Amino acid sequence: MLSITCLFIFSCGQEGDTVDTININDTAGNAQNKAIKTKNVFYSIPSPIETTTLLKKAGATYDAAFLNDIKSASKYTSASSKALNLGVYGADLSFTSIFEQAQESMLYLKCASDLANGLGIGDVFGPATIGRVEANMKNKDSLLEIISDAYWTADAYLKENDRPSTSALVIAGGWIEGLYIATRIAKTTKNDEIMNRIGEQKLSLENLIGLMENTPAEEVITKLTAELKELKVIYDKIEMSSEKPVTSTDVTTHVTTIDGGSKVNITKELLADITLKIEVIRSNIIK
Amino acid sequence: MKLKNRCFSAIFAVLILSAGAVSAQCSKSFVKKQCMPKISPFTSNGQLNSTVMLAGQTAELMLNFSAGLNYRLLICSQEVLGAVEFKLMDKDRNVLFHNMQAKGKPDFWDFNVKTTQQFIVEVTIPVPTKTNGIIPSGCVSVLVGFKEK
Repeated sequence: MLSITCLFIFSCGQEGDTVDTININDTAGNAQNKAIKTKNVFYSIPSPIETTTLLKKAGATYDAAFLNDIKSASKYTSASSKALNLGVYGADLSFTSIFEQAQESMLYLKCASDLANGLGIGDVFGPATIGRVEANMKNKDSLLEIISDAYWTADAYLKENDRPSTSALVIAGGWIEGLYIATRIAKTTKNDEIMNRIGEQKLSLENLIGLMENTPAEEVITKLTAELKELKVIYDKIEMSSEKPVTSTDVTTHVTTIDGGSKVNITKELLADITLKIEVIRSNIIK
Repeated sequence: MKLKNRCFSAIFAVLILSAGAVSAQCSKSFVKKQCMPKISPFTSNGQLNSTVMLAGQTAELMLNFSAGLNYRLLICSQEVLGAVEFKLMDKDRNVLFHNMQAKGKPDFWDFNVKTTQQFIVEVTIPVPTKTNGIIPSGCVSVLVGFKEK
């Protein structure tokens, strides 16, 4: 915009010069030539609500011991630790809500609210949200909608206010806590489907690293990205068979299914390594 | 005289472009009011992926979809951009869905996957047949929603 403006202003005093670099003709071809040909690349990470929903479907059970201590919320004083732990408590809140633990959900919501206040986005988890959560405590679907909406609003606010690092840290905190909870459940249940779900996070981890690398390189971002890359070294050892995806649409329901794709084969040894590594990464965040 | 006219035209064009730029801001309220309702009855993944794009520009979003859930992929954009094109592709860029080849050129697609997969969504802004000297720009948001099967 500035360069276009400068060209116009410059053209006022330069009778002999032409400004045809921005004097676009009414033809599609010319317009296309003038359009800026940059390609923006973004990364989307599965939300903790999505991950926890899958864990419950796979047979996970609730255990409060897997979650971050609510008393720890007051320990997080730096902006980066608040952002990371807003993500952590968001995942914990998703976990308590999906397993319909009303009292715990309110406690984790309060933690999220305190950290959001500290980050200047207090309205998102303010009295209005708390009131909606209280009113829908017995309706799991509505509750998840409210939580999802609150985290979406927080993310939108941070991006709109040019705080991409804070946004990335919240997302990373949520993903890390989700994986940590999954490894705890796998350790206690030895459930094969949950083990596979953990293995499938290989794809999400690639996107999370992409998101972090796309974020302004502040020290906390660089450090966390390095830790995630160490986790990726373990994940890279997981075998993934890959078939070309094929789509088919059910003529009755009109729902399209994509078959093929990747299948993971995670060994107990690799699961143990992932469990250990994610525990270390998480410990550095919640300490 | 010629110089004055030229200056006037240039300033006028700058004002129009400036106004366009302001209206093209990807505000939270635009996405919340215009886009989020369209993701229902799916639950949003809680992330805002929006950007201001110009006619002819392309953007890509890398995302994962898990087996066991139904998904809605929604491309929401300001009217000034016209019918926005999007393709869902696998990592090898094989096209799995192309909205411009689908009936009604929809701005969303509902689907599920049998195994967890990593896809690329490519969004392209059409170039208008007539520009009146101005390249349109506007907000584009890619939203992902999920629900249990």
